[in-house]
Amino acid sequence: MCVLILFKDVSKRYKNGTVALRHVNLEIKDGEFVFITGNSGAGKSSMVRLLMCEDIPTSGDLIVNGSNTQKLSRRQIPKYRRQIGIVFQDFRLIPNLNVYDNIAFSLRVVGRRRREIVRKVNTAMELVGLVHKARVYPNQLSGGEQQRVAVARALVNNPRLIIADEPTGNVDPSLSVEIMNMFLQINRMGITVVVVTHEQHLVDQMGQRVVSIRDGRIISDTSWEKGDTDEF
Amino acid sequence: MSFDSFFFLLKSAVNNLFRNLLLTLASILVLVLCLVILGSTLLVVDNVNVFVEEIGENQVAVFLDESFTQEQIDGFMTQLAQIGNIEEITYETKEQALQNYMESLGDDYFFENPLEADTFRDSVLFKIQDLTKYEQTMYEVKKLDGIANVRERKDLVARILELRETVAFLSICIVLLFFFVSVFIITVSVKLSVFSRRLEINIMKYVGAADYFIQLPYFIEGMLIGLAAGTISLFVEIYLYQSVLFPLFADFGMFAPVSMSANMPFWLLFFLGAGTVVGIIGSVFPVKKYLKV
Ligand SMILES: Nc1ncnc2c1ncn2[C@@H]1O[C@H](COP(=O)(O)OP(=O)(O)OP(=O)(O)O)[C@@H](O)[C@H]1O
Ligand SMILES: [Mg+2]
Repeated sequence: MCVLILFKDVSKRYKNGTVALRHVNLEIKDGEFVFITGNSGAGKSSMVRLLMCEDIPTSGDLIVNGSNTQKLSRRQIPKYRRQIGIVFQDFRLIPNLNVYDNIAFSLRVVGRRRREIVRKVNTAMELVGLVHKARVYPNQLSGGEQQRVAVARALVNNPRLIIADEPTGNVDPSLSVEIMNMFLQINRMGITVVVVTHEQHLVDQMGQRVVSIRDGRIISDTSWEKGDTDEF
Repeated sequence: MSFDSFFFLLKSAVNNLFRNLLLTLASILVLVLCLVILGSTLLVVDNVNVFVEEIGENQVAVFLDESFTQEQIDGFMTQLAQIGNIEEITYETKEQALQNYMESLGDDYFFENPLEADTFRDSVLFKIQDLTKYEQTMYEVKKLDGIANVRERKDLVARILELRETVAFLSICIVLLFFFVSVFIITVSVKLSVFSRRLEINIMKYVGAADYFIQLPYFIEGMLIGLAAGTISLFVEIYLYQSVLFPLFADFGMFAPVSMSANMPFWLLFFLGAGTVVGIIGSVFPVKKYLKV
């Protein structure tokens, strides 16, 4: 399997002096499922921001699917992001669009054609089990359902990689497992999945690779134990 | 860009307009006000220029040596023309001068002893093209041979210059002021629209929409507001000019006011063009801020 994401000695220091990431080295292979855990303020969202190219490392390199995020021009960034699907803790669904249109939105704004949109949106809705709610508006959905819409929206453009930042943070704890299982299912389709969470108990019961960070440093990675990586 | 995309962008723009309908209408209204003020300013300037042309006629009269032969007179006129910056050179005989004078008085005047043509003199009348070079040109004129006397209307020239400068200055101020007000109005309107759509813009950034795709609906929105205001302004201006400004200038009586309908292509272009330009300029700034992610 080839490497999809490579953090090479990445540090991130914000303008106000806060150091969010310190010399992070991390390799994620194509098709992997990885949990990133850590306490509040550990630097998890900072990693996501770097992955989304919202921000660039202060030092070190972040290479995703062969492109160094620091070297992307303004015009290349949108193209870069199209290979990544993102899911947020707060869903970020557009309230005045129904489920179908919310999902279709991410295809429409990248200039896809009608036919392709219809086909892809229907597939994505089937995948998250929301076909029967296509004409429903976000405020008529439960938290879990809203998050599934958000996942469908992230999936619909056939990304290589799905990143979820605390996807279970705003849903009923009893639904957390269900959502995590959905990510596992997506991973089985061959899509690399990175899930950020601080719900340790949830992570423990999933049996996937877990990268723990604290104060901006990686303190453990279950792949070390398996001996997959020869670094460190 | 595909037709589907174009349709999507247009729909977004129109949705924006209707989502903040009251604000849209208010900005169109204010914009109409601005454009009508701009248009009226241009019309006033136009009329002032016509007026100045009119009163500026026969600024200078040169009385020649009475002994001049026709040949000498012709020679003088040629020399005069060669000086440059002089236009509308005419030769007026004393009979014509008398007639013109009588006409300028109107029919109400009655002289007990009719005026004689001999009271007047043959003269060469002309006008200085560029009044700012008035002194210079007149200096050259006075160097010519055979001039018995020169009648200048220096105070009139000074007044015309002053009037022109004042009108030019005021109109530039008004145009600039209302141009900025118009851009500001659009900016506010689009800014609110962008603000109410910041979630959409945020998601567009994350799913990889191109910057131009994010900006276009607001461009279109600004342009539509501008176009709507431009169209309305054109009709308002036509009405305002016909019913208020034109009669006002006509009552003044010293010149024939310009006609708006004679210049309709220009005015159509002016109002629609100004509206569109203002609309586009006004919608550039508000979106920029949200493009960063
Ligand atoms: N834009 C910013 N400017 C300055 N400091 C920031 C910024 N964003 C985050 N930080 C700081 O960087 C550190 C890491 O923040 P980050 O958001 O990555 O943490 P996190 O692991 O996602 O935490 P949480 O679980 O609470 O979401 C924190 O100390 C935070 O205060
Ligand atoms: Mg976070």
